[in-house]
Amino acid sequence: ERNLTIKLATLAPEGSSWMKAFNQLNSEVMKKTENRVQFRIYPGGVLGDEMDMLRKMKIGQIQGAALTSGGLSSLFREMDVLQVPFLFQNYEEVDTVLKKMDPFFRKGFEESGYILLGWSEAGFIYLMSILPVASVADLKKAKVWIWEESPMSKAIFDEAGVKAIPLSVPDVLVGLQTGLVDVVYAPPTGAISLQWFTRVKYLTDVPLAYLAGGILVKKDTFRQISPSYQDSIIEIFQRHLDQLKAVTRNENREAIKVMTKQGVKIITPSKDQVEEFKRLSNKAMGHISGQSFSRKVWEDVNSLLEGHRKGGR
Amino acid sequence: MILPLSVSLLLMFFGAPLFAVICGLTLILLFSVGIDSSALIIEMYRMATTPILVAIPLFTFAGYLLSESGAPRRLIRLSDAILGWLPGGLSIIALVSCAIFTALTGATGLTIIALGGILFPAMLKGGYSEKFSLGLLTTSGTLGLLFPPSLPLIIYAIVAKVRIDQLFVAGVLPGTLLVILLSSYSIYKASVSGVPRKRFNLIEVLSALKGMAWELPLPIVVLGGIYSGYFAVSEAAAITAVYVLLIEVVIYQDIKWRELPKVMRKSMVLVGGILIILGAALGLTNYLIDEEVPMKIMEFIRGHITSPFLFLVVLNLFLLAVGCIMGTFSALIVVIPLIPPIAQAYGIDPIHIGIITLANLEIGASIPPLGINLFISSIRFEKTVLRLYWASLPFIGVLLFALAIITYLPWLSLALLK
Amino acid sequence: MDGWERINERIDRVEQGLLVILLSSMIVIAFLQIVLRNLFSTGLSWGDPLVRNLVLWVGFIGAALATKEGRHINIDVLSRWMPPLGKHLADFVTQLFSFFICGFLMFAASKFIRNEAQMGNITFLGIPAWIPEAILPIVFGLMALRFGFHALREAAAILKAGKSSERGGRP
Ligand code: NA
Ligand code: NA
Repeated sequence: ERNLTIKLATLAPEGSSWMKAFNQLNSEVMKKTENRVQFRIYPGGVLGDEMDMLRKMKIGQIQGAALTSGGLSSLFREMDVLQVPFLFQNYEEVDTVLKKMDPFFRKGFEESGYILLGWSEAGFIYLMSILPVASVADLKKAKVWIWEESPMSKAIFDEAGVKAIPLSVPDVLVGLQTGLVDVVYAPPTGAISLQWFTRVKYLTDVPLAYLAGGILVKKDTFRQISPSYQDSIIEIFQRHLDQLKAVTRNENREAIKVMTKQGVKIITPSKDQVEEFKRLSNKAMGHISGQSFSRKVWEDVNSLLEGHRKGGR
Repeated sequence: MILPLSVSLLLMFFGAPLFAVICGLTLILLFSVGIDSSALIIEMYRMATTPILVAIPLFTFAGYLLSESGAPRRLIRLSDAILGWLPGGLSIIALVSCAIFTALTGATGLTIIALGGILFPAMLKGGYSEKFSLGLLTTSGTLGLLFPPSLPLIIYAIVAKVRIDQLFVAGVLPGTLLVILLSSYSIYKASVSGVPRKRFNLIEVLSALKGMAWELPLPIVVLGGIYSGYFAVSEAAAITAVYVLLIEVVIYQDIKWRELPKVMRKSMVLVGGILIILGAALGLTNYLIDEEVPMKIMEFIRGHITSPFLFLVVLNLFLLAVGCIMGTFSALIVVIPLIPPIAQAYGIDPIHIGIITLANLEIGASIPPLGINLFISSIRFEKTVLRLYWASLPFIGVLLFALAIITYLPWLSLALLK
Repeated sequence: MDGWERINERIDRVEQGLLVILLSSMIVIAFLQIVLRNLFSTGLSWGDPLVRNLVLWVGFIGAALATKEGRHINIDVLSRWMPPLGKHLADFVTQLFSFFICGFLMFAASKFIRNEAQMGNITFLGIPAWIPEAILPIVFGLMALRFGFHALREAAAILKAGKSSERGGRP
């Protein structure tokens, strides 16, 4: 039996908790498989963005990638549903939905030729701004950055009729300083590493959207691993990624604290204001076209959430 | 394996197009490790559609418009009037405007394309030798990288996790040092070689100013527009193109409407030549990353060198080579993540190492045999690359001297922070 | 050979026309984005991806024209010290080499396009991404043709020079 090195690309930088998790799980995989299987990680986006990773997986230069919502949904469209703005209120809801929908998503990835080794996440995205934003009306007064790769959030800004400013990510920091944009959005850890926190004054404490993450490997590569090891590799991945999820959530909480220390004010919208955001989102999702998730998945996710909210309270 | 590689290299010296040589090398190397050849195309496509590179065609077009118009003539008149009494006056104007422009456009050698066409004829007419003018404009293609809001500074801060505002401040003195040293060298050269000097004449200054009344506001429009939030840094190119089109074609009418297709063609032939080389270089970089070559070199350095002094020498050599071979943007993505943890192991300030790194990449882009600035100059000024190697050497000497100061005098990077 | 020159000139005219149209659109759209934002508080969400595709087209058409005009960047250090026949020979070999490389690149680019079509990515306004990307194999094919015919011309020049030197060599 041949030894197998699986090349895996990620945007997560060297030294991040992602890379620590990868290194740990890699040594565990090597131990478990007696060095027959190992992962070689390419961190920090050195092999390109998620689209480039997908292309390189397709031609076999790499066999795996850690992808976030954008990359995942280009492999399986239905993943888009998790990105619907104001869908989730807390991480408990995310975990409930993902647990129930896991077999469905796995099957979807497998049908396009990929095996999901485990879920992880970038976390909730928050609105951060120069002007305070608590309501849809506040949003309408502001110049809102739109990120080309976040079509769901873009849809609701379109719906709200706000001044939407498309900018590439490196332009945002200077844009915030010069007043080209007033409102941006990112996971708190992202706002720290992109240094946006040095320019924004407010953070709106309602999750705008959820950025999922997943590690995928090409099916034909995975099938080369002897079947006795396949399940344990998935188990090792999911265990380490679950730990990583806890770390990431903690880092996002810490990031908000760092921002507060920096003088960023936390704005908590009222219940009515949150409801208004949600109505806006639902209306926007009503005319998202065929390129995205199906009606059925939308209803499934909503009924899971309703069930959870009723049961949870 | 060795044979086809050496044949490709030999063909390079017989005048095979550089992109074909790099693509040939890359195809052979990819084949040797069993990666599909379309990996090279993925990289070329990625290069051509990078959002920051949208600026290349627009700035190039604007640069060609300026050079085909009466702007060089008007500029030489103005600079003669204002700084004609100072030996090397025009070369200082050239250096400063290159530095400002590069800070805005990043570091793709765009400065040479956009400003070269106006500054080169101006310098020749001003009595500077061709060799001196070529060398100055080539090495100034990335001068100014250390000044905010240059994109490499921003990318470095994000990748290496240092405070961007601190890095912006830290770059000011070292960046100024580079400009001052080059200016002093230019003044020296100009006075030795007897570049003609003129007496200061206020009336001539005013009338020269009036002559350029429409062109002079350009930098103010661009910088002012960015700093007051009317547009993004990456949009400066679009503003410049439209503004230049308006003044040269509509207002001064130096260029007729029917001449525009010819200017467009000329400028886009240049853009094509550059994009295809940058794409090929990114393709080769992809192979190097896949084989973890930069990582292995850094590991080797870490394993074999203990003295921080020696480490900085080796780091400089490594980074100059990287800047020369890969070009600034691929280098930023590939190499920067490797540096801060290692520098920390030697106890070097992360901000200082950032300035060292960027200064290296800035200079590496002009270093023979593969520095991109040399090729861009070659095609822009229609001179052989060999001639540009020769012309750039004295300037590279000055820059390396400055690099040594920046490297071993951390104060320069850190003074303004305290 | 003459037939090729005529075709080559015709292709040139098409490229020139495309360049003017595409570059003008690029300038107009990039500028329009700024105007729309500042005067009307809006922007074209398809504007930026369209401009990036225009850069791809303009750049690669420019590269094809650079091939026609023989203006690709090169480091020619040896052939300057060679006699005319040697120069023709060096030109022949380097053009033939470039012909093969561009042929390979055309092949690689076709694979790239096939993969892109299979992946089903969408660019601006719902257009499949592989459609604008198809410029890549087309340009590499065109460049291969141009290098190939250039090599043939050099070969003809070498043969002619060989024959005339034979004739000239006879007493
Ligand atoms: Na530049
Ligand atoms: Na280079």
